[in-house]
Amino acid sequence: MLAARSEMNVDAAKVVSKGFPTDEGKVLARHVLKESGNQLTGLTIDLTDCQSAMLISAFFNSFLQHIYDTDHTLLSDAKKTNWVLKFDFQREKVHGWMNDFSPTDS
Amino acid sequence: MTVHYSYASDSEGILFSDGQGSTQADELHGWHKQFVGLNFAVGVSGRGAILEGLFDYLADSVGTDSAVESDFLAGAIESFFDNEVVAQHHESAHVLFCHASSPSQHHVRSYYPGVFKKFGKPSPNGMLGSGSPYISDAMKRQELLGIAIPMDTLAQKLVAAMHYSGIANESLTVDDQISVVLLQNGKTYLIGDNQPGHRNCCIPIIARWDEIHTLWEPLKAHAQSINSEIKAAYRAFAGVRSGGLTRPALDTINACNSSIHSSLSSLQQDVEALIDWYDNNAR
Repeated sequence: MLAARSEMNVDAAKVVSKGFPTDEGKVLARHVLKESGNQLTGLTIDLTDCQSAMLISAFFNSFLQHIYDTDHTLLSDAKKTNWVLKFDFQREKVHGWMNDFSPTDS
Repeated sequence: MTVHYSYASDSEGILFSDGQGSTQADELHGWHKQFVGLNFAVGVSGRGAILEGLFDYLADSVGTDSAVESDFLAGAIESFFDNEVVAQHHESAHVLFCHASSPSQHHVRSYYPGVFKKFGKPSPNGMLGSGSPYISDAMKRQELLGIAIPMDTLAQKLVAAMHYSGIANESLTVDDQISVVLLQNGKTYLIGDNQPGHRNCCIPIIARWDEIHTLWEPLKAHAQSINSEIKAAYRAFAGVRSGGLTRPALDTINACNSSIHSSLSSLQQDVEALIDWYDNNAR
């Protein structure tokens, strides 16, 4: 019987820098995939210390797209990521982006 | 050293200020150079001693609790410079104010005491301070590129103010400590990063500042995220300059557009909720 994997918590402020949101979303995705060993079940990412200007549609779409590009089968778990955010408007928007994301096949 | 930018449409107005105070000895970050009354907001730049004196004068002669006429306010400020400031130092300060003559009439007036004896005529906008050339240059670039900044609603005015705040921060003397006065229905609503001084606005605002600041933080973050969405869309569009606009870039622009549309709507609701709270708690 496989042992249950402990949930992974990521402090995004320690991973992303001040580049463009599209690029930083990819950086975060690479970090998460590397640290999790491609196991994204129960993933929590804390964004409370990230600048609000970073947390836009391009950031989250880029994050999900990179995960999809790496392994299609991981997208479903990635969309269930528990995003920890500072403000209500951010929570509402991220919820929408997670639901609405549709990957592009390159 | 600061920047003030003010814009007024018929039924609304905004004065945003970003800056620090400086003396010969040190810098005073977060020293907001605004004087906020019931139906007006004054922004000043220049020599600290003159600004301090002006605020004391306005606190005594105009007050923060009653509506005043635009010409009365202008006359009071002009009298201060005529009677209290040595002529050779008139050029050390500049003043503007955003005023609500009625719920449907708002305007901006500017005053350069070193050059003119009187305030200028009412106009839709004005800016002053060491950061203002950066904003002025940006406006010229935007016009050349055909970029129009919408200012129809208070939410759009706030987003534009944050946009210009980011530009003014290119000036080393502007420190991203923002103070914003919204004007609607003939009344002012002061919000921002740092607590105002005791003579810069009415007592109820100071008494409830912690709550006002709590309401301000998500508004600021929301406006910043909208500007970031706009920037991302422009970046995605940049490929058109080489005829290289791709399908993924168009998808990005579409996603940004959808986000901006919904965000402006919810930001406007949050601004109106803040105004409602203010009317019930900070008057």
